[in-house]
Amino acid sequence: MGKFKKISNWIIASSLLFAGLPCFADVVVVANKAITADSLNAKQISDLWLAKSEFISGSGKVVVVDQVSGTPVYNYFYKNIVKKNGSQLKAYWAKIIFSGKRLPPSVLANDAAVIEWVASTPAGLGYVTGASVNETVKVLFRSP
Amino acid sequence: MFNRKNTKFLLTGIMLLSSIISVHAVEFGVFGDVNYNDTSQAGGSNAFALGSLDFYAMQEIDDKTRAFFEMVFEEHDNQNFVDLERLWIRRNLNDNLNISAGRFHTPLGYWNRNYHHGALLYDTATRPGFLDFEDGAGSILPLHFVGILFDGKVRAANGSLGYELQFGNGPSYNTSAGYGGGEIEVNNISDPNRSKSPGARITYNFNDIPLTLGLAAMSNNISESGLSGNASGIISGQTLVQQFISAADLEFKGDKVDVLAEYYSLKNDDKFGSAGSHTGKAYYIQLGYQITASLKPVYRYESVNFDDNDIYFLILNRRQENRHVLALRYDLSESNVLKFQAMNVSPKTGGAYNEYIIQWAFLIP
Repeated sequence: MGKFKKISNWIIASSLLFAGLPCFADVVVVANKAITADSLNAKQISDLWLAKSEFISGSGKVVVVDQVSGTPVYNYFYKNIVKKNGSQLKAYWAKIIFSGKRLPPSVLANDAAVIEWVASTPAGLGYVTGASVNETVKVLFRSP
Repeated sequence: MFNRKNTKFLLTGIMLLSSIISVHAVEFGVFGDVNYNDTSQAGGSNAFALGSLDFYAMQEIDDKTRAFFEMVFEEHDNQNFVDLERLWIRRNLNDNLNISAGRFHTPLGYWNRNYHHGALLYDTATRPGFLDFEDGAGSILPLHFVGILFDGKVRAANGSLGYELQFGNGPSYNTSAGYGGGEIEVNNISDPNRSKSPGARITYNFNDIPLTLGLAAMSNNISESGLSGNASGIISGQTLVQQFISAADLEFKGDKVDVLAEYYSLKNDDKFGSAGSHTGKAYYIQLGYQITASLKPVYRYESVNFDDNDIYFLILNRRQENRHVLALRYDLSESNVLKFQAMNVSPKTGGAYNEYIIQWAFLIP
């Protein structure tokens, strides 16, 4: 009992600690298998998640989803791939919303939700940690 | 510290929370600006001045429908005004077609459809004079309308083709107090006549070069909105001017250099007097050069020309003029910007003067 308690405490404390850390690696962009493209580059990904583009050449219109702001995978994705920090993103979307043309991507709760949604949405794209990828989706980009 | 029960509860809570799918919250934002003005105009003075305070919000109501509003608080002649500038609901019918109803900016030109009322978004401290809103001293165009709007975008050979089609209440003018005493009226809840204003704008974005070209047209029967006949015997709803506006615009946004240009032609037929038909024109060209990520000088030339007997400009009491605008934009961050602007205004009738503006514009996202 005492051992379990200690382990539980350790797990919770570690989870809370790691949740706040910006250090993260191996983010992958996953797509529904109906999307014909085999890869995307960082510029294409940035354009899709900033709503500058809704299309992948040869695959047509796609829909992207986001992860929860502030999570390690979100922080890594926007800092290293989209190249925008939190305040830049807020200002960017405020201007887009003001134009009335777009809203930010819908947010899903975690990797599992993203994988499930992408697998069941024919034009769906999302990003997750590498370890969460399974055979129901295809990988179009893997962070260096 | 944690007993087993609490630990289980916490872990269950974390698992439950992590399985919730987020939905869009209402997206709010605020634009604002504060200015310091000076002028060389006879009788003019220097002053600190509040700009407009612009609240906006958008919400996705369901997976195909969204609603938007924009309210602006501003002051004219020491009186406070609250204007509902935009209010619309939009339904996505398919990938290439949306239908919206409400109050919009008319699909005329780049500036009106992209910058709206957000001072932070444009590089100069002021809009081109002839693109002032209907309550501005220099406005010559109906820049808002109430009605329906169809819009969409389709992929084309080397880019994408966008379109906007409007159909709504036409603008009107109250001549009861004479010419030049009022402003172009948008008609939010009524229309003095049965004639509605159609308008359209098409744009083409190139894939390979950061260039957007636009063409627009709009037809208006500008009617009398005074409730009773005025001294000239004009009755409410009577057409004052039949107007056809055609326009072209260009936006080039390179890494360093950007260019904005708009040209408007306004064909105005006098429908109650004998002034006849005249065509006025207005245009601007603006050049910007990004020196660093945060520093950008901008130059703009503006011109408004029309026939002295053009009834539309007589009613509005507008003047012909040219403007040279030199501005320096300094982005302190993505959400606040300092602008330093010097502007030379040369009315055709003479009496050129200079205006100087320092503006601090911001966005609360």
